[in-house]
Amino acid sequence: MKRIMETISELAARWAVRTDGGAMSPEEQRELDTWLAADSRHRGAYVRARAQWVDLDRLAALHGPVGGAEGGHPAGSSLAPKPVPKLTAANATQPPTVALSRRQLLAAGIAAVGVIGGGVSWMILREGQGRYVSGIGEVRRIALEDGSTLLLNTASEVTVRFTKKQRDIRLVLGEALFEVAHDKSRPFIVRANDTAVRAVGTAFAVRLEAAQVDVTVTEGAVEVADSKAMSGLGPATLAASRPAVKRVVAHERAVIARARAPDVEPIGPAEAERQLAWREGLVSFDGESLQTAVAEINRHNRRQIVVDDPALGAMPIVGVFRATDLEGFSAAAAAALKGRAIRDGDLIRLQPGAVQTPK
Amino acid sequence: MPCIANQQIASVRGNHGVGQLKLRAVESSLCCEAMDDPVRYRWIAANILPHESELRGWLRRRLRAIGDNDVDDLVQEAFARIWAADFATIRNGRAYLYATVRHLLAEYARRSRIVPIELLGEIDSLNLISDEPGPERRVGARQELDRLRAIVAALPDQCRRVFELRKFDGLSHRDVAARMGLSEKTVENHLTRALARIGATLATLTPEGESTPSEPSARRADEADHGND
Repeated sequence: MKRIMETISELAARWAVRTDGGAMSPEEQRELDTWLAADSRHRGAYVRARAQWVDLDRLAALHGPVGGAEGGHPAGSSLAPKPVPKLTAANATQPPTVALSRRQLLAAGIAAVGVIGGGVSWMILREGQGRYVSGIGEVRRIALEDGSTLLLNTASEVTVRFTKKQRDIRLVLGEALFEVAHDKSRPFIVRANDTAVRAVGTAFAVRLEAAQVDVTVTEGAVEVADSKAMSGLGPATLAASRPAVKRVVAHERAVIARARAPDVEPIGPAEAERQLAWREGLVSFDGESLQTAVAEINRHNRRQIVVDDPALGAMPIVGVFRATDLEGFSAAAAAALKGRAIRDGDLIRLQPGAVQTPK
Repeated sequence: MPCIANQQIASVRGNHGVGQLKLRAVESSLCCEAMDDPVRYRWIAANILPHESELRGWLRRRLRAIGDNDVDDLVQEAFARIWAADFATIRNGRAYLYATVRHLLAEYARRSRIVPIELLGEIDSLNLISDEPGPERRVGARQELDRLRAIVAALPDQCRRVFELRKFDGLSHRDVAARMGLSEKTVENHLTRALARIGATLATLTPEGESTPSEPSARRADEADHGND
């Protein structure tokens, strides 16, 4: 294992791979411990290498057939994509490494990255007034008369009312992304529960949840305030005159819990983009708990996933999935977390696999 | 694509470009009882790794006194510190990474006794940028994945196939060895090569996706920096 020419990073990569290979012999473990204890740079390089190894799972989740149509590297024949196995209690209980390869499990969800249009219905309307609703699993684009567009996420509803003085939108249910055409004379205001968001020429998403409203800005800036504070305002900037108004700029997110001041935090462009993966009919997880991921997937589907075990629900999930691919997601989650996915009527139950025996 | 074999072991070099820079003088008592917590690795992958190439670019450009090996040392030290941190309380991984590096630089400056004034000034500007996204915006998650894919695609054939069988098909090292007719040791060597190459490439990539920071891109970033004032 010791070669003089290896740098710390290379040695760290070797140990990270060795760890990935399964249980080490006591001598190897001692050798690793000694190496780690010798120098803090060894520990840092090892942490970095193992984190990178974990990070490559995201690539696996997105991976289509290797070097397929788009790549210049033809894959070995053993790597040709295989049909997605039907998700049944029988094969879900087999050891994942044998029966449920990641590629197979993810093929359906992943292939979707290329042909997303099929799963998402786009409707173009041009309206100034009215009520717009998207069904479960549907993402709907609506062009408004002022040149703005709104994109409805799954199971969402907005009402639109444009007057000469103001462009009023109410988010009744769910989540919507707004791309606002610039018009100084007519403020663009989105209301959700008791929160009002005023666009300052911009793109932003508003998400309505039971206990809070989330506002994510991808371009420009918005002002967030209590709905009452926002009423009757002129075109003048609110932030200057009223302390209750918070300004949120690109790549920030504001969380507004009921009757509390907005909590604004920077999230960065990549995270903002990830949170809006639904625009493309995808959901993206980057270490969220299985429970959180399942709740997100369930928003997009009539059939639902249930996590039967709190410890399993707390495990982190990484990957990009087609929002409506309930089975692909549950099979991938079961394989990654060494659990089982069991169909139960309209439910898919995720259960820990190791201890329980199949009924 | 930078070749790993060309990199030198940092500790072999006596001189670090600037004599006073001896980052490894920064001793750390943090130890390593069980470095096996998968949740922690995922957290670091999600919150720290995405900012590494930006940090390296920044260090190379602004701390000109620091050579590549010092940047490596600094980044490794930072990862060791972050591993030992209570990450449940960290809200912003990027800000935390920069704050950690700033501490490391300050410690180093204190220990070396000769404190280059220029460096301390740079440390203060590190403080400033830690709160907001830098001028070099991170590439989107999708582009980043495309980049990773390209690196994997460029691996030598057998190395790539071993990597794919392990990582995408989820075969164990032993199963990969059986499938490919290789020894487990060889499988391990291929995987090590793949991981090291990916790590080295990501470390040198600029946010624009070039494999080494060229002068024009560095200048552009500097201008953007000043424009932000």
